[in-house]
Amino acid sequence: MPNSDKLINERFLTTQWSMVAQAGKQTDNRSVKALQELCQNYWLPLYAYARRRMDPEKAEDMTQGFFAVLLEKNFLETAKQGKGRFRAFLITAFKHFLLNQHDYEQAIKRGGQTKLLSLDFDSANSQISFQPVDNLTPEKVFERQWVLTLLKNVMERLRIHYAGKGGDHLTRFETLTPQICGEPTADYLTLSKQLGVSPEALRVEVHRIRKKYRQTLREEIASTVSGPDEVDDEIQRLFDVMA
Amino acid sequence: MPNQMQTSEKKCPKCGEVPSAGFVNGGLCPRCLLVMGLAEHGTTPKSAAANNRFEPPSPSEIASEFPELEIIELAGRGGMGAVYQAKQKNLRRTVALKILPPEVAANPDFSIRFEREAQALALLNHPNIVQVYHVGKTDRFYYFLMEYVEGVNLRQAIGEGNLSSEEALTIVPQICSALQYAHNQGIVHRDIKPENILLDKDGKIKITDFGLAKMVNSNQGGFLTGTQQVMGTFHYMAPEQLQETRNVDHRADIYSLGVIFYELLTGQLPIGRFAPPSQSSLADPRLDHVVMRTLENQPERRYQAASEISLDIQNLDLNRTQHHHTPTPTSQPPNSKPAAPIKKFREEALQKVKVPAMLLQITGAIGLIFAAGLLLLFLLLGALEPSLSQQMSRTISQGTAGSGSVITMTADPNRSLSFQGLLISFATIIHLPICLLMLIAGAKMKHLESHGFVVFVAILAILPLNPILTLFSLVAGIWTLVVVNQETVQLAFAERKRISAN
Repeated sequence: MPNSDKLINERFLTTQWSMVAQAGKQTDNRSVKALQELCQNYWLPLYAYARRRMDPEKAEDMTQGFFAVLLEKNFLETAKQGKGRFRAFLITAFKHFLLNQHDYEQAIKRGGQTKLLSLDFDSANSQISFQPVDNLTPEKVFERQWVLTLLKNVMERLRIHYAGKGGDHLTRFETLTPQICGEPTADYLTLSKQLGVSPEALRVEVHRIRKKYRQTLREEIASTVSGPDEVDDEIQRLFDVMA
Repeated sequence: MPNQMQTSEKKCPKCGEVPSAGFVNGGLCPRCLLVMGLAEHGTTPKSAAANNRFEPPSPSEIASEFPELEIIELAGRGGMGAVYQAKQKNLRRTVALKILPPEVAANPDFSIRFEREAQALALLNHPNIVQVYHVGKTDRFYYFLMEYVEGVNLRQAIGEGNLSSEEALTIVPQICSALQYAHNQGIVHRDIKPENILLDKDGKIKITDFGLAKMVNSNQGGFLTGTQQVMGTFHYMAPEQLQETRNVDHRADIYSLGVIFYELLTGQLPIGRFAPPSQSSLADPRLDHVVMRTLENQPERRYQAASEISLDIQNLDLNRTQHHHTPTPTSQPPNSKPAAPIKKFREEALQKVKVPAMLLQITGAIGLIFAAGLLLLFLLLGALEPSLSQQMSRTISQGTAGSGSVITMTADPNRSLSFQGLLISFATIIHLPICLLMLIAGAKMKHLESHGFVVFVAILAILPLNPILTLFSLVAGIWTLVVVNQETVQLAFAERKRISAN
């Protein structure tokens, strides 16, 4: 395993959210950084929630403002109380924030000046397309968007991982991505010809990619829950969300 | 950034559902992606949560017990323990570390069984068997240090649904080879199932967990951990193994292999009253008797040795293009190697036909020399006695009418042919062409050509037409008939015919 990869794994194995929740001190730079990173990765579901409740412009303001407050204010204290999932913490804190007009006013002021996170709302709007028949609650929208964002983050991490390996690793990964779910009609013969490897080698390659995918997904989920033992449970919940 | 949500009504090919929130990365179903992430992949989320299996410790939890190893990751787990990928620090060698669940070792008889069996397992050394380097016990675990195989197990390969019957026919003989080797050493696997058969990236088979079932099995017979594990295993167990676990022999492995063979060909398990593979799949019908014989309920009616199975498969494989149901040379994986067994069988057939072909040629040659001698003798006599020349010309003209002419002539008292005349007609009309045919047939046979012609000549050679060469030609003829009617030789002839036709 290359060193860079090992470092990434070690970082994720410490479970970012549990680190944030346990530290609970503003002075702990590592947990601040971890929270910042989590927010950067998972702001979009929150924005989707806001979009469901208000017009796009206001939703942008609120989201930007919320993160400004979250990251600047001593929110880690709140986080400490908010044991459990980062997902639950984030939506609860956001709801509180929206209820608290004072915070909101403050946030608008701060949000205008400080941008701790770079939030690309244009791109976000293209990603959140509400279907006309949708009558989903804002909470449901948030949860679904959460799953999609999580999976997108996982795929992005995998892409970076294979790009970092050099050679034709990225090409192979991209070609074999549809095989991650184990599509039963996959034509291995055509794929093996396309990639110039034997069907046996291809099968091993697909297996490796799936294994790496599973590991990455579990790490990613682990970073949003209190501990690695909650991963399967969280997968179950996310699965139900997508029903 | 790609659009994550698509509004089309496209169904996921895996689960058949239309993802309500759209696909991820252009075509991946979010729910299937989540299921893939479960620790126990393949179970639905709920059953995974309900599973009450042996929970393997994390690599860091066992690291202190194996100071000589760098434990890299948990590579797999099952009812019989957990396997970790590890590196031997001193040898810089990647190994697989298998630890057994602590409850297995709780049985007081276990340590005796472990020591006794482990020694035999460590001695197994075969290219299709995962090599055991070391066995031992730490404070908490009994463990095996084994060869690390990078690849998938057969269960995963079957699950992907991409094994062709050609691949099945390259997999099964390798399992046979490993089983035969172990059986020769007196070791029965007792738990042959797809999970225990690894497939490396070159398509090579490696069987793992040899003898572990015997070691872990309690005297009561059941496996100690995980209900699902027991159920999964039972499908592959021989009937006698289900009734009585202690006194099963190597034929139980042959049955389990039969179940796998059936599953590889049909994608189904042979449960209840099951149809021969060719009736429920595209499998070659000639494989039916091989598969069905491995699945006989009575051990004595099964194949008695694993090597017999691979031999029968090889015999069929050779000629498969003539009968094969499954598509084609074009859909054949580029790396599959049908040429190898064909070449082997051609060589075997060539060896078999060598001696009778030679005998046929020698007999023909001697016969020709003999006939030439007779002709010469006649010419000499004819020069001395002109009337004989007339007789000769008459004999030849009669003889050309048919092979029975000699008898007709001798039976006719009005035509008192001389002895010389008889010899001449025999030599020229019957003997000479037969000898020539034998020479040609011998040459054809050497090259595995013209099966029908060779059989015809062999029958001619057996007929008692030549009083002097009868014994020779009888031996040559019978020998030839016996050899060319052997299945492998017939197939080799057919293959040769196919090649020349192409």
